[in-house]
Amino acid sequence: MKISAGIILLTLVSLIGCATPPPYTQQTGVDSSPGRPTVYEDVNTPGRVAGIGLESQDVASMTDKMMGDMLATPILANRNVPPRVIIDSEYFRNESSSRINKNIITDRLRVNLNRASNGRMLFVGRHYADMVEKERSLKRGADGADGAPVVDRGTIKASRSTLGGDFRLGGRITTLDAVNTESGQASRTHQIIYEMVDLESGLIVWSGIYDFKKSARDNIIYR
Amino acid sequence: MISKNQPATTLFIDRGCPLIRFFAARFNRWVLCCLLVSGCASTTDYEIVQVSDGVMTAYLENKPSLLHYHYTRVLREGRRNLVLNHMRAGLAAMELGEFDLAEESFDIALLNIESVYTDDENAAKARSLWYEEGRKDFKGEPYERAMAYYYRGLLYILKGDYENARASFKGGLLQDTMAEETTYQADFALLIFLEGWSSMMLGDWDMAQASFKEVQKYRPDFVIPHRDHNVLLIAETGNAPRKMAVGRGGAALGFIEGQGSREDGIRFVSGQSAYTGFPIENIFWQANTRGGRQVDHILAGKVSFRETNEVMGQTLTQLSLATLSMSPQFGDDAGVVAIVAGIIGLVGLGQQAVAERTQTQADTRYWDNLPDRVHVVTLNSEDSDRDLKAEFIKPNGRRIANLDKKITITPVNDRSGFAWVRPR
Repeated sequence: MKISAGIILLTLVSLIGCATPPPYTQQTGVDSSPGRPTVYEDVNTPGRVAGIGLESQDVASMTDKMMGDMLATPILANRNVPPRVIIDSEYFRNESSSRINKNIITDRLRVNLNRASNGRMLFVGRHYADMVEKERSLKRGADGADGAPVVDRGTIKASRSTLGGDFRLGGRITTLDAVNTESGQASRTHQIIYEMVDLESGLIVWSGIYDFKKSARDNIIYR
Repeated sequence: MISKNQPATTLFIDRGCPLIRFFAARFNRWVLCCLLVSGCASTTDYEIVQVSDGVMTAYLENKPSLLHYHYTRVLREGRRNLVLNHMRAGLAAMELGEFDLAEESFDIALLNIESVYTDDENAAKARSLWYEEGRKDFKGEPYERAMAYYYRGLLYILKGDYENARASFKGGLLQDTMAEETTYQADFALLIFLEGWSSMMLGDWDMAQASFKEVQKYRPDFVIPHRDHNVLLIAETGNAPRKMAVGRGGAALGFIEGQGSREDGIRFVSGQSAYTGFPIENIFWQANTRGGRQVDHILAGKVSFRETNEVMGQTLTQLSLATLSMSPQFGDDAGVVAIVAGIIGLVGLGQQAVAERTQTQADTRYWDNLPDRVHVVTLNSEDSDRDLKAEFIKPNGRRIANLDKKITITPVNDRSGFAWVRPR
């Protein structure tokens, strides 16, 4: 009987090829790849790690938009006497399902507005009120021995009281979540409203809204 | 014998050739050996990260010694178990009152839970035939993820940040919507209640009412807290539900209730008053009512592939053995028959090896220091001392004296209070 060696080899290769187990490297359960050096990323663009929550590019975009909007509002940015404005997170509420330090939004807004308004709006640091009061007490002697001042008056003219605000920022972050259990697609709609309130009358003199929706689907292995 | 007249690629085998008989005889033995050892099974071991003593010491330096076991595992087991180990470590830190450390751990766990894994290498491997599901980076089942949000929310409450606490509880609830069984989607009454409690502490009474009414849908016995309540007491009892691989090839994920605990309820005693905890959540129930997972279909496919290869492999191997034993009867053709039988045997072995290496097991890693049940009490701070006694009780209502704990209500924002207790 004559058997072609080519056929035997071909048979062997094809059959054993099917049978040969793949690389079995189960033992490497850890990521042993080298570390990645620190890189700076643009806060205006989505980062390497992303989810459906509020992220840096969202904060940057919405504060920039709100800032531009406020500067274009005459009652805030074009008064003969610049208004005193308080922007902090005290009345900026998070009712959403995104955990966030609200200060990142209000701080960015206040700082950028302060720089861009160029004196058309004045900003009262209500969140520093405690610090200011302490210094005023030291200057005026309430804390000193026999009521004597502890420190001198500094170079700024003394005032009887600290500044009151004309307007204060209020706002709210809300979300609407949805999950498609069949596809595993999750989405979250954020709505962030900003309102500037007249601190004498309670009138809302300016409102801004920013909303966006994000959706993502995790790998099937996690669904 | 090789004919010189033929092209080099063609081999002619003379059935009477002594060389062929020589190789055939050895080939037989070799194939037989292979067939005999083919039953050896492989096991899965995961490599640990080699961490230098200096790095480990620096990492553990600011952590209490009682937590070193957990945090050592964080470093040694790497990314694959990062979330799991931080969940365990965070909860252990909470028990020790190391709340800052617990916050760090849960923040890391939640960051990874919230990250969307699209083209992750380990996730891709976990889907393949050759790796078990446990190869993936752990993110936990929905009940585990929800509990991570729950603990993070409690930590926010302790810091007086009810807004982020509420966001955490909502986030946890979102995880529970992953249940395949629609009846059990978003039915995590504990998180709904805490969302309502956070709203109540923020002065959002309407939102709180809406949440509490939703709790009543799932827990009809639940009594809506009185509007002047400002203290929340939470007790956890029992041991974590355990996961196990069940079904064909261990490809389905099953749960068993945590064993080894005697307590079933809680009573908070303040002076002459006693407040019985309302059992608002059963974690085992949450784990067990999720229903199927999408990944189960992948695992079922793996089982099918494995079984097909197993059957074919066994059949070919048996055929090979039978042919080998009969080969001497072929006289001068015995060598060739033996070679053919050997090839068939090799193919059979190969298929068995493929079957053997097909990883069908479901991922059974689980968060082992979770409780089984959570109980809540709300009251007005004027109705209770700041120092209370927590009495854990058996299912028959009798107190387990050696589990008594003294607890102190932590003031939150000067307006509310919070205490959290576990029996061990």
